[in-house]
Amino acid sequence: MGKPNDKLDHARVPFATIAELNAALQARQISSRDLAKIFGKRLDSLGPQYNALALSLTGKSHRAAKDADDDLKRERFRGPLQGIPYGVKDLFSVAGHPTTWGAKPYEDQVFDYDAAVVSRLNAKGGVLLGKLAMVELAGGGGYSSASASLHGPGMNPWNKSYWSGGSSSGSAIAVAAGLLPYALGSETSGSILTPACFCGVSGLRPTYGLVSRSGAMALSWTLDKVGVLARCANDCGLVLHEIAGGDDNDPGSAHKSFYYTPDYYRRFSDMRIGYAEIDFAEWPDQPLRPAFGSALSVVKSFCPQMLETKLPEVPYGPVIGTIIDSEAASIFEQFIRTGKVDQLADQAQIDGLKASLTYTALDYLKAMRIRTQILTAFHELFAGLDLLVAPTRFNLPDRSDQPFDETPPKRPEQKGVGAGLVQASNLAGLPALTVPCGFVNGLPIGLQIVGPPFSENRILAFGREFQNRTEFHKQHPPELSRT
Amino acid sequence: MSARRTSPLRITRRRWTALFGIAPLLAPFARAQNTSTRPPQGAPAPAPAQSTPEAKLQKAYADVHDVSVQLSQIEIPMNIEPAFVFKP
Repeated sequence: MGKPNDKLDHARVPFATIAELNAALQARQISSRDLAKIFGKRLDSLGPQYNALALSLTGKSHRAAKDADDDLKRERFRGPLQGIPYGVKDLFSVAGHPTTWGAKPYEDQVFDYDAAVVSRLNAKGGVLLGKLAMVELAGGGGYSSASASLHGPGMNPWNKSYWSGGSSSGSAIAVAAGLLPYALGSETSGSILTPACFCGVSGLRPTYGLVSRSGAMALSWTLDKVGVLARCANDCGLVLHEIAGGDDNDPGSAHKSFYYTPDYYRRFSDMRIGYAEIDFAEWPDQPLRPAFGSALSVVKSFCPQMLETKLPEVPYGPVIGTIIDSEAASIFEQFIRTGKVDQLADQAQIDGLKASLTYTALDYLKAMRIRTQILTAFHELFAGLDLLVAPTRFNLPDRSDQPFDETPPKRPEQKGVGAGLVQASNLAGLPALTVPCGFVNGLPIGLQIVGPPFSENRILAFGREFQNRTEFHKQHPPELSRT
Repeated sequence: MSARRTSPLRITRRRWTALFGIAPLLAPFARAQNTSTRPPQGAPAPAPAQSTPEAKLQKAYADVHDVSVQLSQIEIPMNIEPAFVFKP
């Protein structure tokens, strides 16, 4: 974390943390206009090379940056994000500018209002530099390749031959490539955790209802969450502090606030961490296992109460698939029935959305009733545990220029915690954080931390401690570090 | 956060089964997962079938039907209500 006395070298700006940038701004080592210029230049030049940029707003950012500088000069402090550039996934509306939802049929769509999270960040002095590419319609219907986007396949900053992950692809690329200090994304089932993991950044998916979705595209009313992709767990906490809170315009709002206080959390020696050895030793693809083993050793070094556990065997995939598809079919019914769906880029997604119209009320209700049982099961699980940890993904990303490899991978029959955890924790509305925990063949891998509802401070404190003991989050794609 | 000192070892398969109401509930889950997601260890990966656009669309419809059948095999106690959040 930056201290006011630490001089921030301008060459380090693209990969500096929010805390470091904030310290430099307050110490007048750099101005908000300088930051907007440095990041804007990188976003405009490198963003399109990685298919990360949906819309540049760098030309419009001057006023916001100047206002931030004026406020800082007068010591009107608005919080740690004041004067710091950011970007948003292109499913958040920004008044007067196109909001494409990553999909060709919506490329000319313009709203006359800002999404609630954009308004909140701007009120705190944030400087919006751009809208970021995403998988079309956040992947609704299911997609079969990285090319399922109006802006082309998201390319991994660590190796452009590989996919960035999705659906918050541009958000993850922009942070990993040093085009922005942080970006907002959204998750229905893995759309923050997966790209954050594949691109080697920290990604926070808050508890369902903690952050307003007003002004964001809906894919699944009961599953959509707004979250953060940033350089480290601490930065995720700083951003969540500013964007969380109740909103009458979001029917799913929990009407709760969030105060980021990781320093005041209880000792890790008292925490009971649920995990499964098999998740680290046998479930990952072979080349990933040593790195995951090392990551687990780091966790054990500061968490002595590691308790073997496992998730209940529930068909999380069919349950969450039924809920997402049924709700998406209702949301996009006219889009599908009128044939506009055929303009999407991915044929599997087109077919999936058409087929989703055939789910019955009985299917949906059954899935939602099973979901009730999953909620009960997690409530019981967290009566005996404080957190769950597991690999975020057991595999490296697919190539960006080919259809996804759908060959079923060889996995153990026995399951631990990690298999199905992303789907299960989304169904239960639980918060999760992914942090980089190693590299394999030059590509990052991630560790996910899941807690009970509204335990964001706990999972962020855990992530911070893990990052205090490791350097993975401080590594950056070599080519982009020199640019 | 709970500060209770409850051993997570009590979260056994039996415990999960109890949480989920009735034993037969989990049986279709396990059957479906064991048969639909992966080949036996060591078996060669199935070659991807060449199919027409119409066949792919029909496959998408069939997938929905399969999920529907899978869900229909699960019995749930009457008192388990859907996980909606209703607000006054």
